[in-house]
Amino acid sequence: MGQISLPSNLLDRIKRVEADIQRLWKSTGLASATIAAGGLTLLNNAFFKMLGASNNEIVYIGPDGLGNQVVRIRDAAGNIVFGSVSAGGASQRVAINPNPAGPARIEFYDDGNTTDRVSLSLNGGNFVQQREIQATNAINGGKVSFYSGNSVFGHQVAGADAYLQFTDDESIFLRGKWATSVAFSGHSALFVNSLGGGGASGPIILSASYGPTMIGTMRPVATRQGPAADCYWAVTSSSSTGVAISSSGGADNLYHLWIFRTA
Amino acid sequence: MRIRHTDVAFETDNDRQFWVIYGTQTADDGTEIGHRHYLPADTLEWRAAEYDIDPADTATLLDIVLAEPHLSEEDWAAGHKLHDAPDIDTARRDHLARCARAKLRHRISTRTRASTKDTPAVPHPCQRVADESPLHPEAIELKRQLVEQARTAHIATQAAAPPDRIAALRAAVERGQPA
Repeated sequence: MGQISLPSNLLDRIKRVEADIQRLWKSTGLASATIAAGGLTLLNNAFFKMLGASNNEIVYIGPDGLGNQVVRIRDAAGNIVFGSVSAGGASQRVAINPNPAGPARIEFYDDGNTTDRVSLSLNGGNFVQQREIQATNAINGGKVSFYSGNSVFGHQVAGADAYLQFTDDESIFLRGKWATSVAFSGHSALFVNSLGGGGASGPIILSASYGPTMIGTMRPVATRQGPAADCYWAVTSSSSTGVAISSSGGADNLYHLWIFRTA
Repeated sequence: MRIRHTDVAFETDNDRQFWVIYGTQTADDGTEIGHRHYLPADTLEWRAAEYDIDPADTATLLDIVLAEPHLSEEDWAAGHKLHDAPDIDTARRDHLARCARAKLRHRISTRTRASTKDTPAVPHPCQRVADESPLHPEAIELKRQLVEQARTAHIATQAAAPPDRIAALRAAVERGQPA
């Protein structure tokens, strides 16, 4: 007697196909996926995107529509908490730990300068932020350094170093020189100058204007340098526009001024 | 008292350019002493920006910068100063008034010496400061904006409430540092 295909047998086969489809869906990641070997490669400018419950973007890696490849991570509120620079250009970027074998380091590169960069690094307990030459890592500008036991704020170019240093025994060090006759549009905390010298023989009045009208009260500290002479001298006027020193005598009077602002 | 300006030189020191104005100060009893005034080269530009004075009016600007070293404390106390005046017109009016008083008191003159039948007219030595000081319109506008920012900040600071002394001490204790 020959076998007859019964309807019940067909239904079993349909159920098995459905079960296979469910397993296939699961294995392709619609619910979850595991790649046990090999890898995931996206070709031809494809993108990788992860969305939240309300279709809000959480992670995006791919083209931004402007010809740039970008990486973007957002928090639940939509704020970008990590983003790659996508303004274009050959070198503008931020590199985090570009040398995996080196110290912890972040480097900032700018299109406007292809020879220098700014780096943040932590090495041996020393935190350093500085402008540096790309080819050599040598400092070439500003620096903020927190070393063990001391902190430095300053600027160094080719061996010329001006900095303010604080140590953990309360010492303060200042290296460099004072810029003279700087009023900072009336806001300078300090106006330093030396007046007189050759030919400024007494009795004489030496006046110095600041340029801009200073916004507060200026307090002059002055001293006379010159040949010993039986003379007296004093700061005879001080205002927001300038200062004057008068001397009763002396030859080639040179006055050093240290004028600080208190208001 | 009389101030007389006799010579002007232009000097550069550490990239800072300034005028050096030489002169004398003669007391009423005839005693004469020397006077030397160091004036940053862009001071006229600052006064034009600060007091909204036409930069073409170099005579007024020159009068201001030559009078300022001779202003007394009483001069400064009379009227408003630049950063606390209610407006620039008031600041200009009061500063011009105090400079005019000082100019009169010290008989400061910047007039050209008139010609005679034997000698030509001789410009005042400080005319060079008026003629050669930079008075660039863009620089004046930038300086005017800086003055406006400074006046706004200064007035806000003056109007601010006094600091909370107890809060400062509490914060210092929390930081582990003296106030």
